Amino acid sequence: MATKLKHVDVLTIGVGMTGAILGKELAALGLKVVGLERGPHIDTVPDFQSTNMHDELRYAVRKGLMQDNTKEAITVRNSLDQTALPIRRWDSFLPGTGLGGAMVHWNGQTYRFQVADFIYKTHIEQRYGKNFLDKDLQIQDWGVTYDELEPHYDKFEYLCGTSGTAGNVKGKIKPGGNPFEGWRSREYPTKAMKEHHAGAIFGKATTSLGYHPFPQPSSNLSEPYTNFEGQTLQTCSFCGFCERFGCEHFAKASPQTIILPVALANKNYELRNGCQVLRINLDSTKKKATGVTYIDSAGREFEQTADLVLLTAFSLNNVRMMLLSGIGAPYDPKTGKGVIGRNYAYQTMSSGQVFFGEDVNINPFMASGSSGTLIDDFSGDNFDHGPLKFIGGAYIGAINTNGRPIEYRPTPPGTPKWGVEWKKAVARHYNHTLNLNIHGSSTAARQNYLDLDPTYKDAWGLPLLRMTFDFPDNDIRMAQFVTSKAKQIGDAMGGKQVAVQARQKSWDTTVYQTTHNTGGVVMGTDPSTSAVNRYLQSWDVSNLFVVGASAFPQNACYNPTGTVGALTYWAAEALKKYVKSPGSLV
Amino acid sequence: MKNKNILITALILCIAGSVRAADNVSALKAGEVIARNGTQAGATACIACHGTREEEPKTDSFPRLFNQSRYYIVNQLKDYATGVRANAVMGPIAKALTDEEKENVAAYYSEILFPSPKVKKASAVVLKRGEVLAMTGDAKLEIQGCNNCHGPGGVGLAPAIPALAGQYANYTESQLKAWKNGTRKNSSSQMLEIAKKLSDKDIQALALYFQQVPVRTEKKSVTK
Repeated sequence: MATKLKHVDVLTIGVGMTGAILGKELAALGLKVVGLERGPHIDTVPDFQSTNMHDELRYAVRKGLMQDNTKEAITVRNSLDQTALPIRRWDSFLPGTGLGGAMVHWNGQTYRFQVADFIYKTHIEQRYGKNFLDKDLQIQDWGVTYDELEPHYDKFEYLCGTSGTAGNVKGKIKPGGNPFEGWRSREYPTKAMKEHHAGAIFGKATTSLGYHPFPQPSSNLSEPYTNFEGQTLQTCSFCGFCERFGCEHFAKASPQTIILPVALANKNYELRNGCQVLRINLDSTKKKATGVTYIDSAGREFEQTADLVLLTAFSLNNVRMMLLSGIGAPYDPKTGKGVIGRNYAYQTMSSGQVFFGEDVNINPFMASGSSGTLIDDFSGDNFDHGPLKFIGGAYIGAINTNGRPIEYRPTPPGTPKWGVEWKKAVARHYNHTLNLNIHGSSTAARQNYLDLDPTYKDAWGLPLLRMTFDFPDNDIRMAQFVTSKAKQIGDAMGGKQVAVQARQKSWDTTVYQTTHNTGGVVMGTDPSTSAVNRYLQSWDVSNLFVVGASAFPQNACYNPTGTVGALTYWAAEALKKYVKSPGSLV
Repeated sequence: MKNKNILITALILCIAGSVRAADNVSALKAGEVIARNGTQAGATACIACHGTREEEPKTDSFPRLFNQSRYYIVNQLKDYATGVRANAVMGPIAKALTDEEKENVAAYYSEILFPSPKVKKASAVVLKRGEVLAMTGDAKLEIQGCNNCHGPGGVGLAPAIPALAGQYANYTESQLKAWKNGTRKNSSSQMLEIAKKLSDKDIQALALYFQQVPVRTEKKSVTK
């Protein structure tokens, strides 16, 4: 029997980036906010200090900061005719857990999506006609435009202190930046990160080919910075332990370094760790959320009522919570009807390596999660797709995030996988290999979706999330095209050998790609194709907002965090109106 | 045939290796001459304050040049010469040394291992505070642990990051204060931010802590 707790104004399910920002904003309005976090309380000191944190085996191989999949796994299959099985070891993607969520173990790569990305369907139909798309594709507009989001992108970047070089300030193209980016109202808060040798080689080669290299925007900072919340970040020391790790240096933007201390200092805000939310409770009309039921770390069940519920978990868990709570119609890929789980998308990652002679030292260990040099010439719709017969694109970059001893072992194709020859090749190539990252868009398709697994359950007896996904043919064609461009760039760098691997079918969960899982609780203007309105408010339950990458109707070719941050501040503005006069905002 | 190739390769590698070692030895020898005698251009003999590779002075008035990389020492000499590290004694000496002499002197003083000095131990409370700052940092001050960069037990992370273990407290304390007051400007993007958050008491605790951290000396120093 659940113990009923004293009513509060606002609940956030999850205290990662979105939960911390919204919790802080609403507590500042004088509302009583409770943040429910299933994971432990972790912080820069002492948890992220290197004696503990610089442990590649524990955190990179054994995924120490990730969702515990002995308790909550996800089942996967490539197509409807297969039986999904649980992922027993995270590899393809890494859902985080614990205070700060995935923004603790991210790389800090902080992009904006392009103007056209937000009006994708309209834009593609206008430029290429209505019959251009493969029949299985299911692209949509977001219901919010780039211009509307710009102030919120700006606010998020100034929260993080993002380091970069602007390419387009109020429509004026600036040298050194990305000429393809959407307009920004001002420069980045801090100067771009130092360029590593790989980036310099890449910059030279791409310039010679007529492309437009620019420094990767980074929320691991190039210099000390104090944000508008009064939180100070320090300079990145290029230790090479970003992704999969917490930052020991106060140099990476994470909820702990940018906003959580402000929320925690407010008496209206209460953080509860170790709280596993089982479901969002609805009243008898099913139109209003009454709060949540959760189990604490001692196994006791509680019912916490609230006026407003914010679903701010990792994108995949947002989708699962909607399904577990029976909110919104589950998507059916056979009929194309229903909205929860619809338009799940990912990222189409391809890669390449340039193997240099021993006179070129790359020093891969001198790395930050986001200190590459890249080009946007083949991103989004920056090039004519007419003759190519596909949509989407990829950025190409020399992005070197680490040279860690266990997993960083570049060798040329044909090298044996073990034994003396492998060891020799590792020693020969470790310091003389440049990595090319081809970071491609993921187009929503009718057959890719999320629902509840019919067989497998979590430690609390609830069905696991089931993921049905494979790369649409469109995205495979895109990957082949952009990867061929990356090969040309590699050839122009003067290495001894260039290898590229365009992404192929079928999607394989045992190979790391990215943790950019998007969609499933998509935003939009039509309740028959979206689960939340343009303010991320549930169409079905007006006192529920679902915030995260789960709202993306499809995924652009950029890392999603910047856009999730912008959507969070966009939702925060809407919520300030909502709390004055509750009800549907549209 | 294959074996013969391997043999030749091995031979070439051996020769290449010994050339490099010979370079080091000749630099070290040239450095020793400077260290013992000073130079015509006006650099005074280093040994007067810093001792030799075999024997160090029995005073804690000067920093111990031990367990540091050649790269680190060269860079410090360059920074003394340009004033990035403002120091009345080391400035003129460093200016008087040519780049090659700096390299040689650095070769002479690099990678020496002496045991930690025998000093009177500070109080347990002070040492504990130093240890916490060194290993874990301080959440309230928003300071990370020193050993993140300076290596486990403060042994340093060569080539760029100096060893702290076994360094005289006088020196460590003066350097943290030098960052704080702006007379030392190298590595300021990291060290200034850290030093300015440390109280004088914390600086002292850190310095006293690192002074007594044992240095493992069984590792052989560079061959002479």
